[in-house]
Amino acid sequence: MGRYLARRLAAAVGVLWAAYTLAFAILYLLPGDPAEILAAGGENTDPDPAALEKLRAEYGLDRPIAEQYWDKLWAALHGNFGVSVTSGRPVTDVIKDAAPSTLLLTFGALAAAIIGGALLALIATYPRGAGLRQLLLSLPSLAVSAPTFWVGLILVQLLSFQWRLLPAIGNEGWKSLVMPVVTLAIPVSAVVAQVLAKSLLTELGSPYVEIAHAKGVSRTRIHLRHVARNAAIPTLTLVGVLTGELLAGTVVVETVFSRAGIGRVTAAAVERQDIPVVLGVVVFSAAIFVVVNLLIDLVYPLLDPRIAQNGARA
Amino acid sequence: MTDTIDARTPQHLLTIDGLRVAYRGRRGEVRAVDGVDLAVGAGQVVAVVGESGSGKSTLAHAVIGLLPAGGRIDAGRISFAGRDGEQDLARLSERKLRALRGRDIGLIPQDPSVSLNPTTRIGAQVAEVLIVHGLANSRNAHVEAVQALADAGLPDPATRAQQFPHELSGGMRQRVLIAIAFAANPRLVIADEPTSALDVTVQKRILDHLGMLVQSRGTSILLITHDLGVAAGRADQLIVMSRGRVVEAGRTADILDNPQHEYTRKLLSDAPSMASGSLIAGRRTATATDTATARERGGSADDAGAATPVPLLQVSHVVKHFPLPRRGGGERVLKAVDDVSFSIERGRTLALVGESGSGKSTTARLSIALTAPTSGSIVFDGLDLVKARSGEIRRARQSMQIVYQNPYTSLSPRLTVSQIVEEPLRIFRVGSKAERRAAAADLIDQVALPASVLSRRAAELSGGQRQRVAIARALALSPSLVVCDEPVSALDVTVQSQILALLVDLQAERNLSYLFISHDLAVVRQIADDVAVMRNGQIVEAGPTQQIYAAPQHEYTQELLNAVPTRAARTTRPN
Repeated sequence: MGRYLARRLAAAVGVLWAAYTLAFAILYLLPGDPAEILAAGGENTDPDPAALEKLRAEYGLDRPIAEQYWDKLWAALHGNFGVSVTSGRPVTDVIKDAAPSTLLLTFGALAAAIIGGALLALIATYPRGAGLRQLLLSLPSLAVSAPTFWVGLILVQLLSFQWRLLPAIGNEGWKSLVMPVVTLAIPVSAVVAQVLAKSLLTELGSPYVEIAHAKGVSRTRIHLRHVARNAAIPTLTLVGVLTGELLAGTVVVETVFSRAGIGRVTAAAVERQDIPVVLGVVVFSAAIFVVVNLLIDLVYPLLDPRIAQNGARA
Repeated sequence: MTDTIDARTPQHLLTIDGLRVAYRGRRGEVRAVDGVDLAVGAGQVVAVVGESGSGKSTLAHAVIGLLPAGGRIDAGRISFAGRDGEQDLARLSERKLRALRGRDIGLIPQDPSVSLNPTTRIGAQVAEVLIVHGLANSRNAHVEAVQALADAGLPDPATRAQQFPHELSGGMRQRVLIAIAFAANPRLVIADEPTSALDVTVQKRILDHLGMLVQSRGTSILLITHDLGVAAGRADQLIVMSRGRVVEAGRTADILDNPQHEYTRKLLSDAPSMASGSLIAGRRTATATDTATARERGGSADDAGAATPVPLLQVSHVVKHFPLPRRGGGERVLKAVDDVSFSIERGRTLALVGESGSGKSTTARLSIALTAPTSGSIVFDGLDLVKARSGEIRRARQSMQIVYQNPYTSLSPRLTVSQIVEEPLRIFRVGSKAERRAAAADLIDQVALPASVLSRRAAELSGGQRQRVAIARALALSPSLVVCDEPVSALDVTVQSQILALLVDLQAERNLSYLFISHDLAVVRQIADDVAVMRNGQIVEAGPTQQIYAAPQHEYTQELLNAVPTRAARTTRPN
């Protein structure tokens, strides 16, 4: 178990480093002079060469690229991601302010997606009649094909404008969280339902299920005690990937519902080419993704005792 | 109500009258069981014997109401005298059936490797049957479960109860399933091919233990098997099924001594046994001059007529280690193959015999460069496979092919038979498209399949037909060596004898060499020139087949030969 944990931790650190490096490379090596972007500050003016030189020296852009990379990586390791070009605030402060709202949204949506998707999958695979089963199993593909922004707009139209149940925009209170969470969770829960239902059906065909029947175990108990646990692994793997999807989805959802958060910060920073902020957001998102997947790696052996041993052997 | 029934009362525990079971599928209805009558007396062992598709397994599942989807009892009675009195299981509600299952009727399944929940501890799986029937509460269930494991003959049951299925061997898992079946002390246990997935020595120990449990508890057993040897040694009554009907029924000894029905006789003659004649005896005499000398020399030297005694495959001091998970100490390795040497000449068959875990399959994979050895040398047709470059090995692959054990998984279900057989030719760019198609048709003809199968998909074929396709694919590139890894152990006895005959014919026609991997000593005796017995990665005894079987020197070889189920009258249980 110790080895398993150590391997997973090392992999997590590696992913973070790779995300930082890749983002750095793309942002600094792509055509376009960072100094010009910095000088322009988002506006389309022609800066004078002297000012550019001054900026280059100030940001260290006149030094070799490798040197800049190591300096910035070293600073980042100490929690210093530089200063936002547009607002002049430290990047860490920008992210700290925006993060709570986005994390609430992301993990609220993740919880909703897992609960909703798992319930649908468990219920859909329970009936013995093929007709009802097929009908329930067709729901997820319907949900997957609905675009996020469209679902959001429909919800706003109905719940806010027609029935006046929930606020259409803003960050205030749990009520403002409901619609963004639902909007974000629907496509993800559909994927969860599809994958879990498929594994449940596969597991239901396993010989050990027949033995459970032969023991006189009820169908409900077989479904929940025997099959659900064995079927959970592929879905759990998927949840790790879907967390990244949800984080990306916040860009659209926060825009649709006019919520402050990382998504909005990202959209603005990309638009104005605020390189330090973009780099900070990339590392932040990668960190969330890595932490969630690390947690999932720790849950695997609890669900399936074979995994820790195989992990150690590989 | 008393729980003990005098074993001598002629009262029947289970009586089946005119049972008909049908499956409804896309292609209409298939009748799997067509009017079966049978009776199981208290304390009796009744064996139902037949090939796959005979309906014997359907019969067993109908009794406990666990027919697969689409299966339905159309007619008949299944009268069972359980703790709740006489009941007709064919008409019982799901709820009442559930109360019977596990408590009054136990089930031992065919494949222990997949019949336990992989993520639940052994003890909990045994305890569950007691808990769901209210025979134990959550406090004492674990103790009862350990006792049940001990009764099933599992060594160190308290430790095993804490473990997970993957930490146990196949034989141990089958004992766990026996513990589950017997835990609630049922009156009837249905054993559906209980040992066909196990090694022959383990099989014997499990069957002996089962017989002991039956005797001490007075439990009745409905034993479903395709293996007449297993049935012969253990059953009071024998029921022979074919195509959903009972063709013969009676006392085991009577049927074996004097089979009345043609099908029973065929089943008896097809079953490979230690008394079966060698299939290659004819070939040896047919090739004239070398026969006598080869027999005398035990086939260890050159073929008569050939100038140099260069073997086709020469394996010398081969070692293969696999790393094991570290536990505490330093690195540990599994010595799967530990200094193995042998050679095969052209046109001859060497059989590697051993139990699972003996390293015989790894040796086979090493022999045709599917995996690299840790040390040692393997020379195939003059090419050193250990030192050869990948390009050379790739070219050599045309001359060495393999036929796997399970024709259900070794053929892609999505390809047509023609595509499957053409694939090796396509990979090595042999001939034009039309020529490859013609070659595939020719090969299919050689393995005695009708040309109509060419356009069908593998999934539509029977097990025997699939194995013929696998053989055709292996022969497509005209190899000189074919490795047969348990090629008939997944097949029915009748099909088994046909496939063995085919392999022998093809060998004579094409001067093929076979490396034949098997755990079935009766099969090996029929087909091999030479035998090497493997255990724990080493060859403990090797020599000409007749010599090994007539006078086994090593005690392990003797043990293996003794464990083969015989058709001789039962000796383990008095009548």
